Amino acid sequence: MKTKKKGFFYHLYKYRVFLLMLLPGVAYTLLFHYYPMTGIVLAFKKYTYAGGIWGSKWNGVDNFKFFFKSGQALRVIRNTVLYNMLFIVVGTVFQIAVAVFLTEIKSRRFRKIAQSCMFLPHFISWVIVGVMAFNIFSSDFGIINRLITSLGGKKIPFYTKPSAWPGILLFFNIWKGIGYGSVMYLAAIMGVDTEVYESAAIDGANVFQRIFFVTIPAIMPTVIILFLLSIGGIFRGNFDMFSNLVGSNGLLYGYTDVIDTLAFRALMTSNDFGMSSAIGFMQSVMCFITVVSANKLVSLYDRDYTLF
Amino acid sequence: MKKSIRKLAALILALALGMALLTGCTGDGKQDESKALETTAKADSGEKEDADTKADEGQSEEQPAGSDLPEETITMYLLGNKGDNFDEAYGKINEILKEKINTTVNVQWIGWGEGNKYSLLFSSGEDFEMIFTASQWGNYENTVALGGFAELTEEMLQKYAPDVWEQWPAEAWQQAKINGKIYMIPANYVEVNQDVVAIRGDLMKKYGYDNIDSYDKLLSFYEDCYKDGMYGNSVGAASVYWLMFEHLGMYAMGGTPCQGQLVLYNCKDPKDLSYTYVLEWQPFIDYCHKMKELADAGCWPSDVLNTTSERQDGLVSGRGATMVWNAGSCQIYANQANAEHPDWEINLYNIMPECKYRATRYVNGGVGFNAASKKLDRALMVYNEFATNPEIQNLAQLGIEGVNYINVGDGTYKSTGNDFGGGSFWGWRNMNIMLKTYYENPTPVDLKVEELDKFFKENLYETHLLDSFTFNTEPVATQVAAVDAVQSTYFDPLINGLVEDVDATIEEFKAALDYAGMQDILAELQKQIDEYKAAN
Repeated sequence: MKTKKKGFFYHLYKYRVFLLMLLPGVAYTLLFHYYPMTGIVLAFKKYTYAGGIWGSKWNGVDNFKFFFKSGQALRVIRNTVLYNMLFIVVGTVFQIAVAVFLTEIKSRRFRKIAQSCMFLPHFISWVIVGVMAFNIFSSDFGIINRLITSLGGKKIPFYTKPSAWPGILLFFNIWKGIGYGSVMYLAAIMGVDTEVYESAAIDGANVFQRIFFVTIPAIMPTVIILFLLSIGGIFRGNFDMFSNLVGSNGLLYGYTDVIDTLAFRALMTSNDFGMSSAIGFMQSVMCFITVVSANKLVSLYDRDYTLF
Repeated sequence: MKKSIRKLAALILALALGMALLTGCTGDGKQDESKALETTAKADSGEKEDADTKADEGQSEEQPAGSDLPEETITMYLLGNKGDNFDEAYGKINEILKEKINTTVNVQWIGWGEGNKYSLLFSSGEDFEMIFTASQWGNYENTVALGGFAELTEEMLQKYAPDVWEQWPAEAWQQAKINGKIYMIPANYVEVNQDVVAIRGDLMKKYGYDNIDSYDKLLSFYEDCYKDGMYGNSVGAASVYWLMFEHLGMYAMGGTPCQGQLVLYNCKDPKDLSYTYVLEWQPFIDYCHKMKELADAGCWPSDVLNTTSERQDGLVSGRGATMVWNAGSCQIYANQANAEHPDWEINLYNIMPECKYRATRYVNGGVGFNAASKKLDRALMVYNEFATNPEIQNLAQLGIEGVNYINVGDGTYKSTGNDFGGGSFWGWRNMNIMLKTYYENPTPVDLKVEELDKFFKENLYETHLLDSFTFNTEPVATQVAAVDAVQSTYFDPLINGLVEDVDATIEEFKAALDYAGMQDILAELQKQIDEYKAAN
């Protein structure tokens, strides 16, 4: 047997098919993720149509000022982070629960139907969800208020009651994401060796013991990796969701305004590209810091669970 | 064998994907190329202008004859959607243009819901020459601030759009100026766009009103309506807010944040060049208190801020007793609702009859020219034709004679019922040659509109220096963005009476605006007004 090290070109040739398959992915990433990053310079420029991205004049950190000058920076950062934490934690719990239940259900037919039903909301756009929400919560024609008044109760003015909105937003977020999110966990559970379950059964484990001592520990690496991935977007508000559900209702902003909706309002009339880039850039930097430090924390616990 | 086929298939797929990405690349490349072209064109423009002057000298002072000009296509963006026989009408327009100035016009659209497309046309380097624009609502100020429109010098206008230059009043050019420079040709068209109120006649009778001719009567009518479980105004008080300050002779200051609703000027006195900041203005504070009373009484739904209803929806569907809009819009919906429910007897009412009125500004509609365009001279010639050739004017506004409208003489036309959906012709309207509507069987609403229109035009305010003033937001761009971010948190709930404590909210609003830099904006406004006063 030869032990001589093979050259670069040998490997290139040997894995040519795999490399070729990798090519589109690499090209895609470079083109749509790395090349546009050069546009970050706009965050530090006074954009004009004539100058474009490269020819416009530099203006230092002027573009960042409006965000802090609005006096609402802290509020929207807080809202963005808290909502995302809530969505990630509650969402993950629900998605895992659904995945576990689906695997425990024996009827194949029921399982398929249930899964399809839960998956469906993923395909509904937030615009439609916004209209649905208005028809549920509006004061005259909303289903809830109709029900209340027909039972002789007093209407609940959801659209002037900010404290109701974290719950409403959470509900719609979970409802829309549950089917799609649970697919990953389903796949992870399918990957667990059935022998482990068999031996657990022989040892006399009941359903709950099987879930808590076999299934959950087995999918923990997947859970952590997905958690880390979603942490990467923690400073980005889901603009579609917030703007379609809340609209331009200033009364609710205290509880519902996120970085993205604030920036949209501020720049909608002025079309200032520099200021919008500045906001995007700031969010990216904050997300980057968060994801790197979260990854570091996880690596202290167990290196195998980290992203990189 | 099977394996190798599979391999081959994978390879082909990979290649196909790779190709798709590469074509994406070439797309980008092209754009760079066109940008490069633009810059060379700019560099060459000195030379080009010389050539143009030569070409012009060859001809008489008047319109250049079509045959001498090289063939060109001018791309023009309009708002709206393409109407039914649009192609036919524009085919005829192009025949005329071809003969006169050897030019074809290619019309592109920005649909009503595609507002964002406007700025993207400029930033993406799209190749076009003309685009509809308007002060405030039509992206004029912000596009100028970003350098999107070409500056139009007097020489250029005199040379390429001589008829427009001759016919348009000096005031129109004055209004188009930003920092002393003209960036659009406004339409030669003013109207009195005064908001009026369309009110259900049956309800007025029921609650004992003969006429609703004052702001206070309107508000008390709203309260009476609610006692019956009927909304006074189903879309809230945003439109009533304008009536509030207009009936006091105040108007929104052009170009200031929040569509000018925070800073007003006094139209009653042409000598009064001061501004009024509404948060420190007693009528505003009283208004907010009054609206809270009405909102608490239930004169509009508590979810008005989230409603997607249009102003007319409540009136037409029977849930609301009134709608507030300009006379033309009220006329359309009042006629529509009356036709469906003759017993409603809707008519229009002017709630400020003791006031004077303000005509719209010329810059309420016009055409801007793309700064990156190389065919500015030809585009100006095209504008000249659209705006001053009656044949083209009518084709673009009313469509084809005999099909869409009938010219009944006397400068009037009547509809054939098959209206031309020609999109926005508002960029080049010319009052001197436009045909006016002739009503064959006028409804009471139509008669009232004519009466109101006449009344408004007879009772105009004297021209105020600030009518033509437009605030330039560029020096305070940061503050304006911050104010825009703060504004809707407080302003919309306040003017719709939806806040818990009016005085506390106004104080909070004021503090938030000051933090965002409202005082800087006001100081800059004062400075610009002073400069403007000195220059005029």
